[in-house]
Formats: sequence, structure tokens, C-alpha cells
Amino acid sequence: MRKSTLDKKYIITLLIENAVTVFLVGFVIFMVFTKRSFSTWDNIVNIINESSIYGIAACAMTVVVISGEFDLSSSSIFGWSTVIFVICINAMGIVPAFFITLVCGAAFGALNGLLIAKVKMPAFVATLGTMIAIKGLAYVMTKAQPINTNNATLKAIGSFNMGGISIIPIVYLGVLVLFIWFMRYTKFGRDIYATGGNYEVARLSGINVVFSKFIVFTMLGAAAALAGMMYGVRIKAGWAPYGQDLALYCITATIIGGTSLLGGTGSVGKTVIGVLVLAVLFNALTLLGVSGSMQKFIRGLVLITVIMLDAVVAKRQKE
Amino acid sequence: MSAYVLEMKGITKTFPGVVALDDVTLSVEKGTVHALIGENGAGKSTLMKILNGVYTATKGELFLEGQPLHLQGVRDAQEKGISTIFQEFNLINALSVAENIFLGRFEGKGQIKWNRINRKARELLEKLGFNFDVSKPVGKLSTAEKQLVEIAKALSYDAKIIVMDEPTSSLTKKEIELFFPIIEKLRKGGITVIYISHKLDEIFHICDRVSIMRDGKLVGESLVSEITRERIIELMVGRSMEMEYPARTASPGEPVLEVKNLTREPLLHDISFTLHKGEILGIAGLVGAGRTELAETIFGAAVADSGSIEINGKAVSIRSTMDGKANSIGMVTEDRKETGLVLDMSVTRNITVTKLDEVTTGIVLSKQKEGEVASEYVQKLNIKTPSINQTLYNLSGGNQQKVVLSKWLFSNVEILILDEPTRGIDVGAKYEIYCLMNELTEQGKSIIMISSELPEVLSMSDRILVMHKGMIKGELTGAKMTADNVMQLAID
Repeated sequence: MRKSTLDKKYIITLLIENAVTVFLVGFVIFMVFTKRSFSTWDNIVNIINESSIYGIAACAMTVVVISGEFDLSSSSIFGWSTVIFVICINAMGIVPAFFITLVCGAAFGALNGLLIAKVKMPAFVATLGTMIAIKGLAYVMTKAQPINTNNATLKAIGSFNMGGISIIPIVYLGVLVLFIWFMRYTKFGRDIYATGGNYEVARLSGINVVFSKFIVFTMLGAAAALAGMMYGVRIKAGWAPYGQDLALYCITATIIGGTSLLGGTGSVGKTVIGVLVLAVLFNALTLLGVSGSMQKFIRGLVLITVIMLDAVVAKRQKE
Repeated sequence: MSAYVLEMKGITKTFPGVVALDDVTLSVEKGTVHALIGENGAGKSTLMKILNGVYTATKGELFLEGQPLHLQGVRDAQEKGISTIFQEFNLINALSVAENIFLGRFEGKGQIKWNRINRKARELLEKLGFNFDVSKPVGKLSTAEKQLVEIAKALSYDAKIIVMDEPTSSLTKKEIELFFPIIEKLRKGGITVIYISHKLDEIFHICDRVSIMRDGKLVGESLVSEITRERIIELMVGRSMEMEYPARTASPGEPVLEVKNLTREPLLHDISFTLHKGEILGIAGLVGAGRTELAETIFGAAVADSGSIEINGKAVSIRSTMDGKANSIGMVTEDRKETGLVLDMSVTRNITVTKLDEVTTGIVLSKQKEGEVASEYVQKLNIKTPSINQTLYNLSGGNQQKVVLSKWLFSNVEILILDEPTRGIDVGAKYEIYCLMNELTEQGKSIIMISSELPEVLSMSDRILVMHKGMIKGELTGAKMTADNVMQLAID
């Protein structure tokens, strides 16, 4: 008798923990039966192509969250990257543009890292500041106008197609594998887990905690730049406001995947689930005719819900 | 009415996969000081968490003054007269003494009647024989004063029973002497104290009865006057303990570490000493004398203003914990939960964290090598864990401490600094750790041991430095190493 109540509690915790996944499965089943256009190959491919762009940044965001921090400025780094990528393509071609954008993104990330790891500013304040500054800079670069490119190589890359799958999911897959490997199998990855798990313990174990925190932001800067470039590949334009919702999207996906905001636990692989959940949800909402403004509202609700569930699960596990 | 103020009858508590308490019956007489003792993991904490409403018993009943008792939580227990004072105080540093005492129960409709609250707080402290400014923020009080505030808070709830968890663990010798009369006052006032402690001396000093727990069961109960120290230990560990301390087996060799004129204002002043190969150098002193700060500075967790450190005759610069590790120094901190272990991580990961280079193939971590290392230490140090992949939350204090030691043993440091290496762990695990220290020094490693437990320092050290106000006030060797001499140097 007593045993069964315990089991019940355990099952409830498990359900809450996976509430979003459970919801997703139910939602997908609902969509399959009510909306024929949802389960078509074209739409599935569309979901994969769309979600891969933010997915790239979400990998790195997960690493930042594991280290016990978060980063709001990745949205602006993304927007900035679309701008600088297109400008550089028009000026000197795609290969230099690629590297310049990547280095720029990493440099912005490194700036965040420096402020947070070395100067020890709270991530919220530091990345809020850089978010605004970088966005401003991107506006200045283009006089607040979108810019286009007609680069032939870019067009060729953009039109790569394998059964509907574009180049972007392939890049995402590569980034994903790289990050999973980095976090699971390298000393640096382990140091990041320890730093996020308990900063003092890590420091007193002789781990370079400052470097650990620094490097995660640098990687996120680079990943956000890469994501920005992928967006550039898709729409062949650059504009500062692109990717405004990236940071919160990535944090939401990370938490849905089961990485705790407290740091020290979770994994990059799990975030894929979070990315897919969000992609499917918003794709379905669009198909159902929900307006863009309404979707923004729902996006906020989802974020609050998943953070709430994260807190509830943490509380239940403690008990 | 029953003669007992509290009866816990047939209490059983199970967690998934674990029986934490197995049919425990505890009866406590009114107005007594009742000691509860047992190794870590024996079930004391679980039993007390049932008493203060944190947990609900799986089976069994509670009676308060003969009436069945059902608790809805900590606050409910408090209101019914059961208060618990934890090792980590439940006080808000920024708020005043009076505010802390009456937190959540401020009188007045809309507007708080501060005069009344302050007066009441003063009266409570006076009852305990103390008189200090109740409008002072708690953060500015000493540990002993904070404890007093906790006791006053319990009294403000008209506590019938106050549970004290290791109340003297963070008090200085002097403060402890002032603490015992408070307990006496509570007893005279008809308040029952349940006293959880590892310190047998204290139990013999102030407790009336003692209940001994082991492996979730109550294994003995007696009037303190009718039981011996040896018998208590025997019941706690479940076998007779010949000695609490093993004999030292290694003898010191040539100098390994030389600290010269080390200064870190305002905590350390002009510290010089030498550590020898195979030596256990004890560092005694009161809490706040600068012992931990000295350890941190040698290890690199804090940076000295001036002075030099030589290792094997060569001057070294240690400005970070990475430097410390590179110079083969390791430090086991005094608070394993806060600064020693990542509780979320597995036993394996906690052990290998200090030297991941050892468990890699190329640049890739080898799970197999890690597992081998972890298994080796789990076996060698007799760490009781269901698996090497277990996170550390569920391990007992003694086993957690062994994991902390393992991580520095694995990184194979030559100089090991142990800050309160046996704090809050049971007698059995203590003995094992002492034996391990002997073994390490036999292998030629050197140990600096900081300890507030005099018998430990006296029994395990080859030499003792006594610190006072950030300075080394004296060095004791051979026959001079007595409790009296240490205390003479440690106090003003």
C-alpha cells in the first residue's frame, strides 16, 4: 500500500519532468489527425530546416547553462552576424566573410566571458549590456536598413537540397556532434560541468574556473555567429533585428531538454528535444492559423512554464 | 498525563530502496537533556526530521505530552512546541535580532509595533541570562550569539522540546563554556532538549540520558551516569573499539615545505614554519585564529601579500589553486558539502576531477580508465556506495569525506593539507582516516592537519603549531604536546 503511494509520487515527478515531451507527443498526434498538411514530408523537412538555425546556437547555450550562466546577447550576435556576413560577402567574397564573421562572434563572446569570468559581473547585467551594444552596432553598420547580396556561391550553397533537407541541418548535425563530444569526452567539458556544479569546489580542486567560464561564452559567440550565417545562407540578407528571440528560444530549448538553470547537470544532446519541441509547436500554431503576435505571447508562456516545471522538479527531487 | 513529554513509537521511514529508520521507539522525559548519538547515516537526522515535521513517518506514532501528534510541517511543529536548531542557522543576516526572532509573526494591524517586539525579544534574551542590542543585525553577531537568537526564537514559540543538532561544532572553547549554562537554564525551566552530538565529552558533561542509534535502529538507551564512554562507542560502531587513534607509524625526514614570513593582511602575520617529509604537522588554535586562511594561502586559494614558500629547497610562486596543484599540494577543505564535492556529480567524477589528464587517451576521456580509478579508491578506502556512478547526495558524511580524500590521493600530491579532516563523521570512519594518514606518511607524503579536536591533534601529530590571531604563537613537540599547553597558547 505504502509502496504504491511512493511509486505514484515517483511517477508524478517523472511526468512533470517530461511534461513538455508528453505534451509534444499528444500535440503531434492531435495535429496528425486534424491537420493533413502537418504530417506531409514537405512540412517535416520544413520543421527540420527551420529549427536547425537556432539549434546551432542552442548547443552552445546549453554549455553556458551547464556552466551555471546564461547569455542574452547571443540574439544580437546573431543579428550582427547576418549583417557583417553579407557586408563582407559583397566586399570580399564568401570565404573571408565566413571567417571574419566567426571571429567577430567569438570576440563578442569572449568579451562576455571576460566580463563574467574575470571581472565577475553577473551574467544578466553583462549580457544585457552587450546585447544592447552589439545590436546598436549592427544598426549603425547598415543605417538600420536590411542589406542584400547576390553572391553566386552563397546562392549555390543556399540551394543545396537533399530530399528537401538544406545545408543547414547538416551543419547543425556537425556542430551537435562536436559539442556532445566536447562535453562528454574532453577534460574541458568535464571542467565545465564541475564549474557549473559547484564553482568553489571546482576552484579548490585546482580547476581553471575562470577559463572554463570564459571559454563557454566564447564558444556561444562563435555558435551564434555560425547560426547567423546559416540564416544569411537561407535568406541572402542581413539585418540587425534578425534573431531577436534567439537567446530566450535557446534557453527555453535547453531547459525543456532537461538541463537545469542551476548548472552542473544536463547535456547538449538532450537540447535537441527542446529544439524540436519548440519547432513543432510553432510550426503547428502557424498551420492552425495562429497569428505571429499571438505566437509571441505563447512563446513567453512556454518559457515561464518550462522554468516553473524545472523549479518544481528540482523541489520534488530534493524531497 | 504521561511522564514523557515526547514519545516516538515504532517509527519506520523508508525512502525508495532504503529503510532509513526501522521501528525506532524513543521516549523522552520532561525537563531532561536527552542525547542522541550515532554514526553518520545511523538515522538520527531522519528521526529528527520526522519530529520537526519535515518528513512523515512511513509507520509509527508520535505523542506529545500523551496526546497523539500529527505534524503538517516545520512551522506546525514549531507552533506545537517543537523547535529545531540546525547546524546552519535559520537566520537572516540583514535583519535585526528582534526581527529574526519574530519573523512572520509581527504584531499589529497594518503597522508593526516595533517597541513591543523589541521589548519581548529583550525579555527572551534576559531569560537566558544575556543582554544585548536586539536591533543589531544578526550578521554582526558572533556564532555563539546567533545560536542564542535561535534559542530565543524557540522560546518565543513556547517550545516544549528544542532539538539541537551539533550545537557546539562551530563554537570556540570559551563559547562552549558559556553555552552549557544556557542548557542548564532551559532544563530548569522545564524545557526538554534533544542533544545531537558526536562529542562524547559533552554528553557526559550535560546530558541526563543517552540514546544510541546504528543503521536506522535504536541500539541502546541509558542514563548517562550508568554508561561508560567505551560502551557508547561500542554500541555506535557495533563492535568494541580498542582505541580511537592508531599509533603513528612514520617518522619525519628532511624538510619538504618551508614557509617564510608569510603575510596576508589582516588575517595572517609573518608566518614561518617547516614541514618535513613523512610528517603530520598539527595546526591547533581557536576558530578564527587564521588556520584555514593559512591553508588557503599555501594552496593558492588566496594570495599572500608577502613572504616566500620553498618546496624541496626551491622557491615557488603560488598564486592560484592551479599553481598549488602544479607544486603537488592538495587541500581537503573543512566543509566537504560546500567546498569539497560537487554533490550532483558521481563518485567517479568527483575523484577524477583533480587529475583528468591521468584518465585520458590522447585528449579523449576514457570512461574505462575513470571507472578503474574510482573502483580502486572505493575499494582501498572502503567507501560505501551502491555504485561508482552514484551521486554524492545519498552518501553519509564519512563516505563523502573519503571521496574528498580520494580525489587528492588520486592526484598524488606530496603535500596534503587537511582542514578538519574528521569533522562530523563517525568514529569508525575517523579511525579509517587516521590509518590512511599513517599510510600516506609512510609513503613519504607530508600532511598538515588543521583540527579543533584536541585529542585528534594530540594523538595524530608529530609536532603541533598553535595559531592565535593570525600568528604562530608556539610550537609544541614531544612531551610538551599536551592539551593544557595547546590551550594555553590558543587563548588570549
